[in-house]
Amino acid sequence: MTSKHFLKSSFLFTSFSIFLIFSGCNHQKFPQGQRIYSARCSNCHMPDGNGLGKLIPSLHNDNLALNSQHVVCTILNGINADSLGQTISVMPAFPDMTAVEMTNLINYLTSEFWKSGEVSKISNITQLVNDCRNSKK
Amino acid sequence: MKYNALLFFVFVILYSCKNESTELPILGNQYEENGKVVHHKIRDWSFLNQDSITITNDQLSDNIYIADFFFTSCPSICPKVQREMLAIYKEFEDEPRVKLISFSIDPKRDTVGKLKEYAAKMEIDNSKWYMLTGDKDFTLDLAEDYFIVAYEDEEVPGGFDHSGKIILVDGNGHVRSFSEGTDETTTPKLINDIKTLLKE
Repeated sequence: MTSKHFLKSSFLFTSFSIFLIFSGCNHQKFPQGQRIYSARCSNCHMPDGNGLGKLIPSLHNDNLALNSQHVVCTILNGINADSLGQTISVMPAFPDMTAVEMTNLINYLTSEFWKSGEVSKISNITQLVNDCRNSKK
Repeated sequence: MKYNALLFFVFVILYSCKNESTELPILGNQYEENGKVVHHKIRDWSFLNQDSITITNDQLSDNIYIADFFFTSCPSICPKVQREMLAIYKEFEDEPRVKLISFSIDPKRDTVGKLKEYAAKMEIDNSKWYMLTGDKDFTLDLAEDYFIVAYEDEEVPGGFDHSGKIILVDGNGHVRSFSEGTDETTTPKLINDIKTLLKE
């Protein structure tokens, strides 16, 4: 290989590496979780997680990150509240969400809104999902 | 001579820009009657607001208002639309001529008390933003005047399907502009249009 060819190859290799690094940086870390969030959560909690006044709570709440059990149970069971003497649903339940979907969603919430950097494992979330379902029986 | 021609050309361009109409159009069909153009106009209406006070379109003749159609238990587009309404509310919080109206299309569930509770959680001034409830069929028909599609559908979440447009109406009941409440990028233009309408 001549030095000219070597320089050209080196340049192309370096450019390609830089492209890979930058495209990796911009890539959403949990795309499956983001899709679930967009489909099931963002209509109310908004794409940026800010919610709506006191009507729909913001998800930028580090207390949520500290209590995965509470988050998982809330998503599975929804929230009912008393309103003018009637019990109404203020957050819909997603009882059919699988442990894999829940793990992806929790990891998206963690990375996007809680910034803790913690990554949940399917085994842990499966346990939490089962605990919630058993406690409801 | 050459410079004079250039200056004249620049003047013509600037003059034509300056005279560009800044008035908002009146939207909807129009027809001629007795030689006069008759524009689309929203029919008369009367509803109760979240304070159980009767609000009519006549009371808004000295105001301009933006309107949307929603229901408090709506699980789909309503929160997004209401967030854009809230952004507009905050922009014109200190402008008494601008009012906001949210017509409930689900009056069976959205009683006065329910709307009052909803408004309290939105932390809004009840004398500026009216949450209105009344006859369901009349409300669904009225939505058409605002170019909103709204109808009952058991198949959709919440039981009602409706579009999420936010409509700008002048004191004469004419629709002057709108935004897509589900698309936040269209809100700044509506805010500009409100400012333009305030100058009329």
